[in-house]
Amino acid sequence: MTNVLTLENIVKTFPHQRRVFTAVDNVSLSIKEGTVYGLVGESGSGKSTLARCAMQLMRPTSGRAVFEGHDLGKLEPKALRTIRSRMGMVLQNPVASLNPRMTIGASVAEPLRTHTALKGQALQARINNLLDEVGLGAEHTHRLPHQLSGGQCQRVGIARALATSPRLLILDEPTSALDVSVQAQILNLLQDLQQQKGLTYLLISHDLDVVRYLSDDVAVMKTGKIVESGTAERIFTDPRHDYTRRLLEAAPGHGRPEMADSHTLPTLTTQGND
Amino acid sequence: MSPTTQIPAPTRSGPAGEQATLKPIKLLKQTLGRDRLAAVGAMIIVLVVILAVFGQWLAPFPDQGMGATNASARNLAPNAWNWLGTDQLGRDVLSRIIMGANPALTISAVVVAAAALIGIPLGAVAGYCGGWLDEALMRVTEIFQAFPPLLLAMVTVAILGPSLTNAGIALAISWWPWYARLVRAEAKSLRERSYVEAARAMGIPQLLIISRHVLRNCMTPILVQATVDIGTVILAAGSLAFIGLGTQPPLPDWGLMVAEGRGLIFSSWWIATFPGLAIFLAVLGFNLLGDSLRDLLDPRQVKR
Amino acid sequence: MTHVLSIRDLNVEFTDRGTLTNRPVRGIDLDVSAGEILGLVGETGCGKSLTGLAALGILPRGARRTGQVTIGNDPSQASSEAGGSVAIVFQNPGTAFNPVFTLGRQLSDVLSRHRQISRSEGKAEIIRHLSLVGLPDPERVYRSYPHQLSGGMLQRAMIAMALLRKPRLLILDEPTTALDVTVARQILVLIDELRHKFGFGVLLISHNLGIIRDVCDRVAVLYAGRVIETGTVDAVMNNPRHPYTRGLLGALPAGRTHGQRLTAIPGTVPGNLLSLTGCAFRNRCSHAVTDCSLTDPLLTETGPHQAVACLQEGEL
Repeated sequence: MTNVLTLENIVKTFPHQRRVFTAVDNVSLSIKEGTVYGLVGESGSGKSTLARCAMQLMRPTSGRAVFEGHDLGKLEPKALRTIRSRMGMVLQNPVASLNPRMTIGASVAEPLRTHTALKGQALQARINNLLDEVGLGAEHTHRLPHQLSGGQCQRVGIARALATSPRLLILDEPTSALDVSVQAQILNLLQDLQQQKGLTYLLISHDLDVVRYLSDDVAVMKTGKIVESGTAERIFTDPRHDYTRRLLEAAPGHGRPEMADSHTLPTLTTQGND
Repeated sequence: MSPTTQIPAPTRSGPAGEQATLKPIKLLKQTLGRDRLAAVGAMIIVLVVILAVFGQWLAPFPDQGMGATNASARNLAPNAWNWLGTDQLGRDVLSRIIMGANPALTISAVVVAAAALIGIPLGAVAGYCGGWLDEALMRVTEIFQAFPPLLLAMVTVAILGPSLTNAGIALAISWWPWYARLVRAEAKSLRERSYVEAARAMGIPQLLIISRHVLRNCMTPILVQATVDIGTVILAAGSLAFIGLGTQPPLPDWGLMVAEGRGLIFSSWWIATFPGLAIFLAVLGFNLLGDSLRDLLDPRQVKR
Repeated sequence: MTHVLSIRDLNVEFTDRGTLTNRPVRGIDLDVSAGEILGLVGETGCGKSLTGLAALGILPRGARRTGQVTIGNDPSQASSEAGGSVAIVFQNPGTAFNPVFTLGRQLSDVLSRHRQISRSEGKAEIIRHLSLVGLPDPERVYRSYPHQLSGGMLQRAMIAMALLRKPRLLILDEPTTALDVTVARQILVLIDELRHKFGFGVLLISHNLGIIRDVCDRVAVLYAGRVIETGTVDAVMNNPRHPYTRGLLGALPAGRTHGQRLTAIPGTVPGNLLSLTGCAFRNRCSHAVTDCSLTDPLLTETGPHQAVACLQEGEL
């Protein structure tokens, strides 16, 4: 199997209060065609920064991002724009990721107008087709984002990302702003699309259950580094790194909190609060 | 009965049941209906526009409005013939106020348009691109802002000579930095929006991102500011005329009329008072409407 | 057991210039006993936060409540005067504090409104409470501004602020949603421990069934402004009787790997509930029959620890 995306020794630093803050610290990974790579970590772990470096939305301080054999960092701006039509991105906040003044149809049409020669009827047909693929009727074309629910907006976001038939989708917390019932709809949709089209996903999430549900391979990030990676099966059944184990234990729905692990509390004084 | 029986849907006002768009006129009517002050503002503006367009047919003495003197009727108090009285050259004050609406409105519209045309692109580029370009453009705007507008106007007029056009040029020069700064601040925050990032991820060219995603979403504050500014420029142009740097006699201008009537304020109060009142009402009208535009232009309003 | 909160037939209505526009909370009954955690769970827009605010008597503009809310033993009609015995902790600790004052100053304000106490005693009392909620170096926290502390620390400080009022009831509105999982876990542990120690009742509002399962004793599932299933957490989570509860639990990806489909609930929560007749869930329900559009089901006991509002409950 070929690698769709390979990241080699990516480092990203930001100047922060006269010092250098390292958001991503020498991360390498490769994503095989037709698989889902889950990147899990808490806020500030650098997982979103890494994804933005992979798409060259931010230039990495050092390291290479290789997509379909092209070193993205070495491409001219125009060539980079063209190659971005082969990668799609779905963002966390579905409503905010759509221009509030553009209709759903116009939002989906935007990448098509830039990267394809589709016009008029053919363009409209393609838009309807895309909306249909994500489970939205053509009647949504003329609506504005605020007239749709969060789940519907995320479907639009997915349709837009799929417009130019990319091979790779980067999903940045695609369901964390949604209710569980809607999350289930979106997760089912993402899974169906991946299987039908043989898509490759880079899935970024803080939700271990979501990562486990979709991913083939998983990497756990903490303070800019990957602390553990492997198949999803292995990571979730046999975590080896201490941090991975702590993360798994803390996930909600995995049992009542033990009074024993409440060592964070100091001994309470006898003089109570009544 | 079988569990698969079709159940009629309850009526609900969810997004699906809503009409997607409303006609702008209808929306305007709704807003004005809800907001009395905006309605007052709009009425004043409509009146000023009517006077500006049809003034020469509406004015009782159009030739006097343009400056023709009438020595036999000087300093007449308001009467049945001259409703707002006559000035020291015997010209009908009402006619001159009506005829003054056109230059006042024209200069404001032109100044605001010019300021916006210069300021908006510069501000958008500075705010969206950031970095050294932002720094450089902002320093330039600060230099322009550092000059007092009246001083700048006096210098311009001293070079080009006093006239309404030159006063307009002077005002536009001192006005555009405000638009640049306003748009820059908006663009800087819009740049961080999710949909702008999504557009970049899709490989949309920068200029399209700026025009389609950034500028389109800062139209609301720009239009609000522009509406209020039309009023403010009427005042500023009047001020320039008042100190003799704008419209030159005998052309009608509200500021100039106040200046002409200033010396006679105790004996013939109407000469200066009514043009002053005209300025006050026009500025008030644009201010009232400007504030309400904010609500009107919110895309979420379309839902109602 | 004594109830620290008891709500009877709570309605929240929104009016616009005298006309009723929406009724997002429609006849809720709830009881919270001392020392107990009751979970209030449901999707966005089901009325769970409004229920919490209505219990406190701090509703948004244009909203009014009807029904009876009893906190402790004093029935209060739409008043926030119950302030002393009930406290609330909101979702986002980062915006719940005023950024220009130190935490010590803000906590002192709460304390001085609550009881007459000297400055030095007040400071000691606040520092004691800050250490109670597990904040290391409470002296430093006392002097800190909100931006100098992490989200988890601020949420602990919020809880300390709530404790200063010696609440008999603590309302927690999505207390851990803005926090990382490991930090969230610590906060939940803290709440669990404090309620045992002080014996106050807790109304925990959350959209996260996992959190409800982990820390609550009883749970009330809300849909469209109404309790549709309630009971002990064990009973409801292990043997859900309402199709909506089943749908929510089936939608959780927890423990599933790919290939297994999640049972998504089709459609969305109805936005306006005024013209609703019958069961609010029927349009999204695969078990709906004609009767469901005619009769609004009432909560009915189905077991010793469980009650469900569904006409088809027996058939499921």
